[in-house]
Amino acid sequence: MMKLWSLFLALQSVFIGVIASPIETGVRYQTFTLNDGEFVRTQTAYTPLSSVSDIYGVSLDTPNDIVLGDAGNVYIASTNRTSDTGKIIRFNLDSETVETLGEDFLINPTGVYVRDDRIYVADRGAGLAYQLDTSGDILVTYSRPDSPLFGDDAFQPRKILADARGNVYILNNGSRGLAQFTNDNEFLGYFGTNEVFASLRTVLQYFFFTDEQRANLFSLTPPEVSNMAIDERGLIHTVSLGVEDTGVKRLNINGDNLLGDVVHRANLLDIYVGPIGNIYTISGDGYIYEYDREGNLLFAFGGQDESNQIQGLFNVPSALAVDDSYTIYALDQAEGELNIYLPTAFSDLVHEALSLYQTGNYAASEEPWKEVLKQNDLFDLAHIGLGNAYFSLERYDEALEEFDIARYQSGYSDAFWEVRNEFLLENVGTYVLIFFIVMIIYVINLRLKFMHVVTDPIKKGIRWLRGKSRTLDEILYVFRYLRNPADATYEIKRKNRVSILSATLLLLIYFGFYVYYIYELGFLFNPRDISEINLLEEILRVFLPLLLFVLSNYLIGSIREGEGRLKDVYITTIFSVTPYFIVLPFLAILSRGLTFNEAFLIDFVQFIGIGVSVIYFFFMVKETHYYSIKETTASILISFFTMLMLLLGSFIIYILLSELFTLMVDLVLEVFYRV
Amino acid sequence: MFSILKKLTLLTLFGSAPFIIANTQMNAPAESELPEYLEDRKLSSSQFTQVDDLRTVDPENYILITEDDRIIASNNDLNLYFNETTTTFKVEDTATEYVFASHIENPEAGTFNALLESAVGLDFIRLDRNYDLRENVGLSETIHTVGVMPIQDGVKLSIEIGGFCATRACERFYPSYESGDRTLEEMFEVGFTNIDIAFDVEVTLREDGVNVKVPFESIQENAENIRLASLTLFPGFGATEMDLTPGYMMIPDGAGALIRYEDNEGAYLSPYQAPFYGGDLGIPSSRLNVSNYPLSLPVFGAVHGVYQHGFLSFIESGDMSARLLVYPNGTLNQPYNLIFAKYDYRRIYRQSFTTDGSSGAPREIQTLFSDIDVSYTLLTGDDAHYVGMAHTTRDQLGLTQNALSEVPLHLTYLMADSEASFFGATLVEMSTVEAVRSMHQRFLDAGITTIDTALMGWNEGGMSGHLPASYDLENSLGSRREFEDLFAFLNTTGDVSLVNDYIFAGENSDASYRRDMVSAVDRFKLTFECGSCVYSETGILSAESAQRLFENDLERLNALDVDYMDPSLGSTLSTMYQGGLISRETSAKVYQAMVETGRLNVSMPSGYLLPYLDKAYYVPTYHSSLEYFDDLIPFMSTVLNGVMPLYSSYLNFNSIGDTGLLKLIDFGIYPAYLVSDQPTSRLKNTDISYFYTTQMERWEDSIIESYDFIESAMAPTLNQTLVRRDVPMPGVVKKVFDDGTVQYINYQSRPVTIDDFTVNALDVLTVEVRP
Repeated sequence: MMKLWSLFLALQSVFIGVIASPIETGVRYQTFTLNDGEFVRTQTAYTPLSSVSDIYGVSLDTPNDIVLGDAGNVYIASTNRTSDTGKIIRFNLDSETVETLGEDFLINPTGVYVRDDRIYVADRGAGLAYQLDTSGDILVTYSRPDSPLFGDDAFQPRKILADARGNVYILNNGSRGLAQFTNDNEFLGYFGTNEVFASLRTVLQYFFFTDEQRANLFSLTPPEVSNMAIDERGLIHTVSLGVEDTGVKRLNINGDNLLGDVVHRANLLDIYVGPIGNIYTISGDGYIYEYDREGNLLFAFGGQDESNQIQGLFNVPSALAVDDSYTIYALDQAEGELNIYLPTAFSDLVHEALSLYQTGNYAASEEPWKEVLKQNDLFDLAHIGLGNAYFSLERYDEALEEFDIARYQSGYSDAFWEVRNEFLLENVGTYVLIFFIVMIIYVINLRLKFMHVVTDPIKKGIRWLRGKSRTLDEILYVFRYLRNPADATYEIKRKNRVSILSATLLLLIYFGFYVYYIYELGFLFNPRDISEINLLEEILRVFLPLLLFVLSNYLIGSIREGEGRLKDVYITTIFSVTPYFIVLPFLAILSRGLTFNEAFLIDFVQFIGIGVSVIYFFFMVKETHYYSIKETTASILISFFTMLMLLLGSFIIYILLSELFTLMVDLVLEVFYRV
Repeated sequence: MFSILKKLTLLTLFGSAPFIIANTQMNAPAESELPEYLEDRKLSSSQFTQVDDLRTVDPENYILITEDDRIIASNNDLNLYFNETTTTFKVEDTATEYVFASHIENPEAGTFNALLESAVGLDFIRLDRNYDLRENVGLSETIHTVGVMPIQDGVKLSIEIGGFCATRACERFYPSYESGDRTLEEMFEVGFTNIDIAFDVEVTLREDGVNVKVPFESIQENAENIRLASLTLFPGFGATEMDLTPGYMMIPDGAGALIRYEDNEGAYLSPYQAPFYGGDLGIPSSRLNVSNYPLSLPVFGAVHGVYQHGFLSFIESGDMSARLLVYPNGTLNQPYNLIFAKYDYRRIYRQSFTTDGSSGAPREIQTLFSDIDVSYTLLTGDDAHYVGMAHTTRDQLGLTQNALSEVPLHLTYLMADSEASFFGATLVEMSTVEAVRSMHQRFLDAGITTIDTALMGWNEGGMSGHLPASYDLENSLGSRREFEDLFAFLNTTGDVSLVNDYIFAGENSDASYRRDMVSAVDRFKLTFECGSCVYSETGILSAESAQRLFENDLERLNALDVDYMDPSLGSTLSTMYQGGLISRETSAKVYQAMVETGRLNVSMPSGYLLPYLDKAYYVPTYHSSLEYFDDLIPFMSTVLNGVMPLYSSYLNFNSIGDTGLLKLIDFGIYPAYLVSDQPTSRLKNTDISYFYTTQMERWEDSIIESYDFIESAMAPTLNQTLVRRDVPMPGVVKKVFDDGTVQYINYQSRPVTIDDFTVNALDVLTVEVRP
């Protein structure tokens, strides 16, 4: 996830300020979507209107929260800048009317919500929350509950909302979650509290700290809920601060999160559920994120502008709301402004396709998705949507292609199952025929033994080749090693049966297997992005641990009465990992024909490869150094520890040397520029 | 067919003048269905031109000629006055008696008073105070002498600024210092700064305005620790107070922007500020530039009363180190609307002494190497409008009209790029030579006959990281022979260019890192890193190397009748360091010479290249979307319409729907698209994945449809000169051309009736007045 964000920020910084762009959007921010799990630029989804600091003559002062009511009414909770009072501004852009409510009793209203002709206001300054009627008169006052369940927090309500049953949720101390009240001010308990995750650091601290230190440290509070929203189905959504991946939540009635991991930054301030259940959030640095109902990122756009001069960017954002025409209303606390963003033709297309798709109308969503892809061919969600449309129309080949572009594995697996099924059904006759022919040949061979006509020349050929090439002979000696490691090790140690060159060649062959494997492993089982495979990284991954182990094990062996010379350790180590490498090409080939349903096969083969290698590895050390079981175990463990120390040591030396180098260069530079 | 039938029907219906050419409605992606009140807000936003306030200027607000003002030059239309006491100037239009002054008389602008009541101001650097920059010092608050010498049509002032008093005590003591009763040391103690800077200012009357010139040789810095940072000329020229005068200020930001005279209620804390020709990459500076478009033209202006009075200021020399400042009323708590330029003689930058650039000290560097020469053309009547300003700009630049035979379309074919692979990079083919030929043929078959073409990624290795490239064709796309046959084929429909880049050099380019890539003035190599890119480092090419590389290929380009197209050279101009300092002016001259060969086309061209160009790409259709701006206007395109064909940025990436096409028609810009044969998803691991939709199969129909729409709307006014552009109601533009043709453009999503004509929603109506 860190990589994702650093890429996002890098893209921003690279493109902001670039002139003469072949792409002209007319807005001062880039709009991003996800492709292959990475941010990519997309068509502008929303364009900003000029921002306003007053609505029909009523100043927004410091606007804290915004909510949309019925009939186009917009409500803003605002704190006056010139006095210790606050107000609710209700305006209507259609009828061009504006009113202020509650100015006589509100102090610092930071939250407002409207449902069924009732206005709910959280007044942080007054330490109270209110339920008002449409003319602004107080119907119910929510105050600090006496219940011990509430805890010892002060009552400073920040945000408020009400569900269809009339329950009222107040955000007070976000670490405790949402305080749930009945409509007439009876405290029911907390809802939607975040979980506490112990990091490695806290675990270490727990182990090593004294009780006193622990007492100081462990005010381990859950991440703070920073805002909330409710959708049409009555499900409460929250955003939290300081949480990676799960900062956007949709809670069921038990308070469990119904959304999976969501792409966002850890500074979300507000959330709003728009039409068709789309989720909108705004972050502290002015980015607006739009997700579909399932939490998939559609668009991220916006940003921060401390100069207060650029349209569409924020200084200090505070809240957002979205109306039925997907128009976004967002507040900037520092600038005291309301920014309105209008959807573009592109986002309208996405919304149309999504609404069909989300209602299960896959087939009908085909055309809109195609239109979306015309606007952006690097839009994962659209490829997935179109893939699903094709899938429902039983056009599996096309579905497969779309899922492949989007790297959508589960869809790909399903579509591949269908494609494979079709293929198998079509060719069932041929396969049955081939199977029977092979069976017949096998049975006849049991009787007549005629296969040696084929196998003998092959064996003879190999023998001839081994005689011709010593290196080949030594490489093929690995099979002998696998059959009888003890004897083979003896031969290697005592009779120099295998040369270093041959072992090195074998290692290179294994690396070849490995490269084939990482490139050719079926898309469903390949965690890597093939385009991002880095040669150097892979070389390090394969060779470094092996060579480090050889070195460490040899060193440890030499002080722990091991017999193995460096050469022996090198050769036998390479020989011992053979099972792991030898299954790799087979895995790659096998994976191409499997779906997730048969994933266990891949795991099984891989497990065999690794398991057998581990056994050989153990016996390799034992035989090479002529150790007992106990000595072998100790030798392996100490070797691993030595590897770690070697790495650490070289790392420290590297850092010191590079610091020294920089210092020298800086000295020269300074002399050069100063003189 | 339907369109022709419709035209015929209309022809019979309206046999007599006026003759209406109506366009059919587009079937492009539907504009979002916004509630009417939101659409109204959109149309009244700064992304559209607004309805003009047509009130006349109250004669009460006219600047008066006083007894101290003495006529020093006059012609048929204008009188130039000089006030020797205050060293200020006024110019009067004798027909209307409207006066523009170099300053504001008795201003009420607090700390700005001295600057505004002077005709000349300066900023200076105090080297001994850690390069402290003292800004906006007016001549009136300095201790100075002025020698006045009459010259042809004006005067020459020899200004010697002795010192500057930052405190009242200093001012009080100064006479006693002059009489020798106080020492210089005593004066320093009360806040005296010994500036000792001298320069000449020549103010002359021209046929249509005033000219102000500061000869470069006359500038002298005599104090040891004081350096001249910048000069401000005529800071109060065209200034108005609050919203007393109807009108606006014109800023050539992007397509063009207006700031209208209205009461801003103190909305702005800082002025609008931007350097001409974009930011200078070679001077690391903390100066904030919030624009994303450069000021491509060295002009600015204001209108006092639409179609009444106005001026256009054109910087003839000194533009390379000038910046524009605009103070809408309320900025810095002063009530005036100000627009003026500052001419930077020196700039402060930070010199770092460490490899990571973490620490450093301020340094200064000279940036001006030529005279400052700026003219103020007075505009009256119909010319007192941004269209009039555009015409004046065109004349000042010496641009001439060139006729087009048909409405052209621009297509860039994306041929190849590279993505990272196990060993280095592999080519990603997007369109082979054969594929380009067949795509082009499909447009020809669809009846589009005038197509200007560019090829992107034609060179070995593809586009990213490989430019500038010498003429080295990527042979997996086609053989040399096939390429050259393709050029010949494409040349039958219009010009052909190959995308190349002589500013930003990629790490796999034909430029050498040591020899060709320059450093910034702090002598650190000017390179840009992109961590996640296939080619991570980009440098900046010296102008000299650019010219050398370009000229190597010139002969071949001439032989093949093919151009290069540079997406960066038109709008990037930087001070560089390579052995010695290379000024912006030096580089600009080299770029001019390159463009003058006729084989190098550029995008978003700056003013200094325009006289040598025959077309322009990526012409802006927006401004920098700053809060200051009230209107978007087609200033740049009005200057260039009829001079050269203007092509838009690639419309593939513009999601705004019909409005975008209407704007092209409105601004007189021809459409451009980026097209590839292969699906765009192939680009996803390349460095150009920001081209997220290019595939011909997806775009063919809409390119043809959009072109047909634009062609039918623009053909009737092809080669006509725009004489007026008005906005009679929000979202409706009325353009009048010199032959009397009137074009209505309706940005509203509902039909409107205007001048007895009904214009369809999101449509264009052209009315030709028959003789």
